[in-house]
Amino acid sequence: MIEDLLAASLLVLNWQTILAISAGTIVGLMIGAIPGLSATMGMALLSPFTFFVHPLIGIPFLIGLFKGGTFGGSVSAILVGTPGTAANAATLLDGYEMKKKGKAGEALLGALHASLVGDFFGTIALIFGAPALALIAIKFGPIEFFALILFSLTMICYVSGRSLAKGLLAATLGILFALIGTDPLGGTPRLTFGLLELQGGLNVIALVTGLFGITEVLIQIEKFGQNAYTKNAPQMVYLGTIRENLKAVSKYLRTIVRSSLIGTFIGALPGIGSETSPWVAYGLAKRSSKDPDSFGKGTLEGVVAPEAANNAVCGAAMIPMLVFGIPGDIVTAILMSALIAQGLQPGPFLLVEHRDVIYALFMSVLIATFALYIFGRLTLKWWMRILTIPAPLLYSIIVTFCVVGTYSYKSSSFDLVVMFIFGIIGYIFRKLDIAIAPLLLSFVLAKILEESLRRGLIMVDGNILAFFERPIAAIILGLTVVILISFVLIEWRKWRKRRS
Amino acid sequence: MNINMNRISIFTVLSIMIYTLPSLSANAGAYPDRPISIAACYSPGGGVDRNLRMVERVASKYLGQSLLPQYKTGGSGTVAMQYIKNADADGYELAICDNGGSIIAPIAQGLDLGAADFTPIAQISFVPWIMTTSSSSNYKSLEDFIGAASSSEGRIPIEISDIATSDHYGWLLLLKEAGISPNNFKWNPHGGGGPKMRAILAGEGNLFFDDAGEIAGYVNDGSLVPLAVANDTRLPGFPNVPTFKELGYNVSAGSSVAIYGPPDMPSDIVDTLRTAMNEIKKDPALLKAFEMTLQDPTTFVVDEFPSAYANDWQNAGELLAAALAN
Repeated sequence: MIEDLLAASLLVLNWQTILAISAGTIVGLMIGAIPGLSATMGMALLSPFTFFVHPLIGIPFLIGLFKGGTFGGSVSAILVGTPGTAANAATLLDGYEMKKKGKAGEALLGALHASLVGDFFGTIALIFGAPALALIAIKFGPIEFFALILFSLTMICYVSGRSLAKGLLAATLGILFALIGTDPLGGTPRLTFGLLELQGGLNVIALVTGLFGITEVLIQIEKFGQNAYTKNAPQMVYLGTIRENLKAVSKYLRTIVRSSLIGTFIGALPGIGSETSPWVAYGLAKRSSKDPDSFGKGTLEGVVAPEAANNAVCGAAMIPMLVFGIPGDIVTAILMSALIAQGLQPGPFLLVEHRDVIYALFMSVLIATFALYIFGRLTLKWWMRILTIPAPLLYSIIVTFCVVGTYSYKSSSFDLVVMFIFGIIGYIFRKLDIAIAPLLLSFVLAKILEESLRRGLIMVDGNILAFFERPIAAIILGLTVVILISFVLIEWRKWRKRRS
Repeated sequence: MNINMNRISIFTVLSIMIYTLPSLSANAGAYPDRPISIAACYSPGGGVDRNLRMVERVASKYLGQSLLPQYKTGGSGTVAMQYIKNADADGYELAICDNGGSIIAPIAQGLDLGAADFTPIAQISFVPWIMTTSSSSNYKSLEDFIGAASSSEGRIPIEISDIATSDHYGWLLLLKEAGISPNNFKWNPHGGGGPKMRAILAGEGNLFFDDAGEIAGYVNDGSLVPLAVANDTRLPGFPNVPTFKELGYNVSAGSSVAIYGPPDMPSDIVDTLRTAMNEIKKDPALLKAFEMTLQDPTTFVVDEFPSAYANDWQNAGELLAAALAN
């Protein structure tokens, strides 16, 4: 295998491939850093052009774009409190708080370092563990997905902020919003109130940009008074040195490694990696942290955990697609159609028949990891300059980008209405001190939860107890119960301590 | 300074808005004198989007105007179809969707849509289904399956992408031909072609319809066995696999992607579009793209499409109504 990789290096270490990876990474970073625009959208728009260039130029370009875009989304989450996608929203919880404390540089560099480690884990798993991980991933049917999503939903306990009751309220609303659209099995429209536009369900990009971007702008508008310009003075641009940051990040090495493993494992399951793993990583980091109360108030640990998981997904998500030809989400579907267009049919024979090209692709995934670090590092200073933009101009630009990003995703004006409505909902939540994250988390997970539950029930003829007969599902459901009981116990102890 | 900043903000917002929002101006002239908007029924990245982009790349050469892809997703494809039903019939609003979203889902969802609600322009591609089993299955031929299905006391499990999808419809066509009730089967919906294949590979099911591109690798390694092709002729990649027709069952089914317009489009506009489509299907760049995506360019049909489309609506309506009523 090592010889294969070395031979493959010769195929990719040419200026065209390196240039393609670099260009992809830079474009990805830019697209990802713009609120509302995502790596997925960039890939969908640019993938047709890769049909007509050499496979080792077009596909490495898309891989660079995927990785760059995934990290880029965190830049806007940390600097302006507006994540590009639902996957980056977990980074916002502590990243934006750090920015408020004047530690934006530390958060960004920390995110980059954690991303590098996570990305490396995912890539190594792809290169060396793909067949083994794929064999586990393929065991995940609707029943196992149901168990895993239920487990992920328990993370609401850890992202609810000060009040669990308010967190649960937000999560319930998230589930309600997720039900709008079309019944996933029967296809009947539901909760659409006769509106055609609602039949597709609420667009998650509109929801994210509204809940975070527009809400933040509304909060900022409040601050404008007579002393607006002194109160909102641009912040100092200080990125910090790599050595300082590595020292700070190395304190959370265990968290980063755990999160990378979570991202790699969940990422290898078709379809749910990017939306689930950052939250699970964040929740488990808080659960095992020595200082769980600092989470949500701007701790670096709360930034590195979701970031490591997020980027570990990039490499791992390609495993089921390459080994079995099963793409889990739009990103892997786009990569798969780009591979097919090059005569590389993913599936069991891909590695046998096109060993050289596939190992060359593995190498380009690895090179993209370093390209992400290099270009991420080089561009961080520019991104930091966002903080020097005067607030009125900055927030005007943010609104504009939220509008452009949300509109261009599906060219839908209705999505803009949804975005502004959720901007107002988010504003009300902030005023009532209700955490927004549980709403988003349950919104994203509820659809998969419902589908997997209903499909699972069809499989076992309605006997839900049969779920426990499947070993993987039984283990995950058991873990879910353990997490819930331990959370209740910890909270009960805290409550008793406060009382006494 | 404050005023300047505010002015700059307003200027920035307005200028980006102006560039983003579509132009509302329309000049009278020979059709088409401005870009044609085309609504894809699924998100970017899938087969419908891929075909749309293949056509879009060459369309302006023959139409004189470009195609502007839009995405009206949701409702298993029906959102775009309902949108196009109510759009202006001026030729500037079209839709692209597969037969699942344009015919089967509207019927299954009980929507107020019918063949007359759209103007069929052209079928871009058709990929036939292949009835496939895993090598461990007891069914070694179509006859084995038909025999078992006719006499079986328990329900035979069949893996489908979803309820009322084009592969489910393919099965219903076969069962109708064979005179077997769909109630003799346990239909396992997986929520897409990928999850369906996962279930097969994990050994949770062993009977399904899929296309040549999806099963080829597994047929070569011996883990899957193709039994019959739902096409008029045998497929080049599977010369030894008989068609259903050869075996005595008149079944032709698969996944097709086609372009539609709103109802009652003026005939000169329809003619312009169909003439352009007849040129587009011969374009070397499009033929190359078909080859690269393993699609058969002879399935790009224009003149024969409207009658085939009307037949599909009629057959699907009867079959699905009966199957879903149970």
